[in-house]
Amino acid sequence: MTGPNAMNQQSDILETSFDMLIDVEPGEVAAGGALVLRCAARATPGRDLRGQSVQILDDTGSTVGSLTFSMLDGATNTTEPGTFAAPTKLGSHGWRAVFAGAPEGHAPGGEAIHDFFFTVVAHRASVLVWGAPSAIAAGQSFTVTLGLKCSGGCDMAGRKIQITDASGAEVAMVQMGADQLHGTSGLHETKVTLQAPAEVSRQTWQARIARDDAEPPHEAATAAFGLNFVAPPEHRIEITVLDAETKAPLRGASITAHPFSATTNAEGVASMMVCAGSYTVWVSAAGHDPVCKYLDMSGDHTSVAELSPEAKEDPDAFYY
Amino acid sequence: MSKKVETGERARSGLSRRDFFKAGAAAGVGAAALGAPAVVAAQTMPSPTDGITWDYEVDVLVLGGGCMGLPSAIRARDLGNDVMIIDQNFDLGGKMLHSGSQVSLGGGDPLQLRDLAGEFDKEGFIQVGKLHTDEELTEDTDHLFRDMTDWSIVDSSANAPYRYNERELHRAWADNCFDTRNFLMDNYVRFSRISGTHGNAGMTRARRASAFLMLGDKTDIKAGTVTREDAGISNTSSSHFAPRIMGDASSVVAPGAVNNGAALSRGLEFSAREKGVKIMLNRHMDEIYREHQFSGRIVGVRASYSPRILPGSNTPMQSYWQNGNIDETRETVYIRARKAVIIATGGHVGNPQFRSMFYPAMREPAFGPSAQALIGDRAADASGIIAGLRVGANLAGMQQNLSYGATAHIPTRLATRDAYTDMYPGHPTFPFRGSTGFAANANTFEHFIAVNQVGKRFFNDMNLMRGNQAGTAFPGGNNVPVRGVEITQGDWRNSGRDHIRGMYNRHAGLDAALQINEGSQGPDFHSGPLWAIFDEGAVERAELNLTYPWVADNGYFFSADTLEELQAKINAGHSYQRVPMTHLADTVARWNGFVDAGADTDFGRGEDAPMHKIERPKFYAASIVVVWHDSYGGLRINGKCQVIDMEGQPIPGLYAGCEASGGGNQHGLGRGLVHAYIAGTHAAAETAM
Ligand SMILES: Cc1cc2nc3c(=O)[nH]c(=O)nc-3n(C[C@H](O)[C@H](O)[C@H](O)COP(=O)(O)OP(=O)(O)OC[C@H]3O[C@@H](n4cnc5c(N)ncnc54)[C@H](O)[C@@H]3O)c2cc1C
Repeated sequence: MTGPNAMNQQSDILETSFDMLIDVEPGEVAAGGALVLRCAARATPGRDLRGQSVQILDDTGSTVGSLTFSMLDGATNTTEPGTFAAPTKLGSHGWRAVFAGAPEGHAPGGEAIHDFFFTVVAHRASVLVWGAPSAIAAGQSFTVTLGLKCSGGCDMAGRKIQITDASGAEVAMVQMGADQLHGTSGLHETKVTLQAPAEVSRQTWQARIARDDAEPPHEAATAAFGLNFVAPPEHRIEITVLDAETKAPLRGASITAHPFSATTNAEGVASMMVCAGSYTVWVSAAGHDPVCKYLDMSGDHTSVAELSPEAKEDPDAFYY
Repeated sequence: MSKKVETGERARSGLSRRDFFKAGAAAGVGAAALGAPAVVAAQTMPSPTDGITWDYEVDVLVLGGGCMGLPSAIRARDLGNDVMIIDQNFDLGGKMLHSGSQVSLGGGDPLQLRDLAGEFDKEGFIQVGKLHTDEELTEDTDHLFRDMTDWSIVDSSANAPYRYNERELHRAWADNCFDTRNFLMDNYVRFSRISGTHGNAGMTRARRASAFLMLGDKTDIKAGTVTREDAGISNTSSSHFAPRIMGDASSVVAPGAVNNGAALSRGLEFSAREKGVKIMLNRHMDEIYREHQFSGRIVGVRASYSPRILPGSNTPMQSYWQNGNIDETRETVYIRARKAVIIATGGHVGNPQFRSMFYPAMREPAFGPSAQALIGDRAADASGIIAGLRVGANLAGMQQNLSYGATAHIPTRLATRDAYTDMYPGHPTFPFRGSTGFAANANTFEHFIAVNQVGKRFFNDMNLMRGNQAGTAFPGGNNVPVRGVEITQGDWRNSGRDHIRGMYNRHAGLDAALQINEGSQGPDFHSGPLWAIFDEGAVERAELNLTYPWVADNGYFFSADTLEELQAKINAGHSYQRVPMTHLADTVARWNGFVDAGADTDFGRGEDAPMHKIERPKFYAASIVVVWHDSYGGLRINGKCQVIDMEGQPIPGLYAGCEASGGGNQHGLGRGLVHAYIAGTHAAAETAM
């Protein structure tokens, strides 16, 4: 024998082999949730398997679907990812991938088999808290938004979230409404008004949902959120923010004098009350270089801040 | 069925599942290509080339058709040779097509003289007057040579790169700048006014010009015009002609002039095709043959078919122009070179294994070369350098890679792997990129935190991009000759303490980004991908436009309702996220605590901009990448661009230059185009075998 075949026989590397793997995402999947499977197969000598399919069998051996090879990169054939419904039974599962076109002698009937494993877990609830004012006058009421989402996609309307203060005492028990935050999928949001304590302090509060035993069950979840309770602010900072070049007012610019902050309106004006004291005031807006002022506040302050447009990324000068 | 319970990602029997999936995609991992031929020649044979049947035979064979390849082929062709270029890509131009076309030569080159004399280009496109003083334009080749070897010049990373430049090489380089500039202009390259200089092209004179075309009704290289569509439409589309949108060159040419690598590369390509250079695209050189492994002449090469196929397509991509293309789809061909082989394959920026010799952390394959969508995974795979080493070549300039600020750096473009470019949809390789990414200047980081693969912060996020800009600047800023800074050749004061202090802009953000972290596993200790994390509030405040083509579902941008979901999506959807980002939620909670406290005790944020909580859904992750832009360490060459062996002797019939070569620290095109002219000249003069 001459030519490549002769070498094939001598070389270890070119010995016939067939490897197949399943990529499972996520390895821990919520009960009934989406399981994304993808198959890769590498044959030596190389083979083009595009168009051929791999059967996916569940724990009981019944076929739940298939994946079809569509890409060939070097010696590796891969399928597009396929989405399967995960079982609802919690715990570990072993499924099987069967490819019926493996080289003779590789396995009985030329079948390649690959077992893969994943774990089905209870649904997880995620609790979120946002929108608290950066500074809250002691003793005043304030509003935050609570968010709740189930990792398995369950409807969370009606579930209760307990809010506790820094000492662990319950300050509110909130029932989530049916409203969902725009742009999200299944994230319920509910606003809640809370009462600030009388003392000036920085505190961490918690929002918590208890474990439930629904079918499927949800684990308990907690979100901590920080709050700055300050003395009643008595002086006003009012800053008008303009583009330094066009002198046009900048809307949406941030004024920050920790812990106080405000955002400019359409006229470029932001106004906020602060406590007496000295502050580093940052003024920042999209597409502009921020500026910083130092203020000693013992009365009201009004000023204009002009922000220079930030240096534009000039492709011509930049990519060289 | 026996069941063994595996949880998590990476409990694997031998082969890591992720590695397996990635094996095909990673460049240069050595997986035998499907249907690749078996071993070619047995080692015991008297000459490696015995028994090879040559499929093609030419005088001069050029490996790679970019900055080094196209002009060297034209030059050899001009001198009466039968010349062939093979290129692994589906189109010509390499990184040069993608470049800014800023070509710094000098030494009294024809453009310096033109500007000095107050003359214009012979076609009459240029309308602006000269942009420099007479002094800034006046020099001779001795001056240029001294500039390029001046020990005393300290650059923006407080390095003195010129002292390491190979003297013979740079003498030849300086001596050939004049002819090279003329040669380029004779081959449809139109150059702007001289305007500053750049990229380690010396400090004391203005030497840079960019290649331009004029906007017109049709794209016509002979006439020097390009349509608006082919030049690219700002913020909208690129074209097959010009992968990057051509820039406004009105300040250096005239209203209606546009410039970048397309004007340079397409001009040269047009000329090469017109002059009858043979072109074989989709052809990757795999091995160079010499009469004996370490002795004798270079004889030819073996090259394999390397079509590039878009996802979802079955047909190979096609070059912009076709005339002169050799239609060859055999898996392997053998090409003999009667006179010489020129290695013009570019550098090693896309070969993590190779480039890690310079910076071990860059063995991380998550980070790619510049221009990767355009040139493909195998363009900058060091294959030319490695093939040279296999036939006895030596290396040079191994320390020079790290003297240039842009070599490995973090570009400001987030949410795309191919971050060092502004290619838009319209170029056929755009799908490899998937998104243009969005530009996040230093200020934008006010609204982000930057985290590593385990979800931990690693630097003052505000400084990540800020320092980076300094990293690409030169002493005194981007415009050299430096105005207001006294630079005298070879003067010790240039490297005096104050000057070094002034130049020391090196930023540590890159190094921090590449640091070993909790997710790094031996033996490689990859640092993993990097992410900018932000929330809906940031999108509003920073006015981010998170739509296609700025972002896409390409594994480099994710959004989710919760941080847990975000982490899971990154882990599932990003090819190089090897470990879960277990610290993400804690990091965000810690950050929010800093915002409440008004001080970031971990990295000192807040002294440079206000801080904002990351709390309001949705949550976002945009990839931050490190790009290795160009190569300096490579094959050792002499002043004729002959490749030098371990004994310091030229390897007969073997030439190399630009990024495939080492010993010259000048950036990019200025270096490469002159190498090409020199190599083409000398290769043509070899005796045919
Ligand atoms: C966005 C961008 C902007 C830039 N701007 C500038 C600028 O303004 N000024 C400047 O000086 N420099 C610039 N550069 C850098 C400059 O483009 C490169 O340094 C230069 O093109 C390198 O030349 P080269 O010939 O070594 O490699 P390339 O130009 O990349 O050419 C190498 C060619 O070889 C081919 N090849 C590789 N391996 C093989 C193989 N084994 N077989 C066959 N073919 C092979 C590749 O496909 C490619 O076509 C820029 C680069 C980029 C990406």
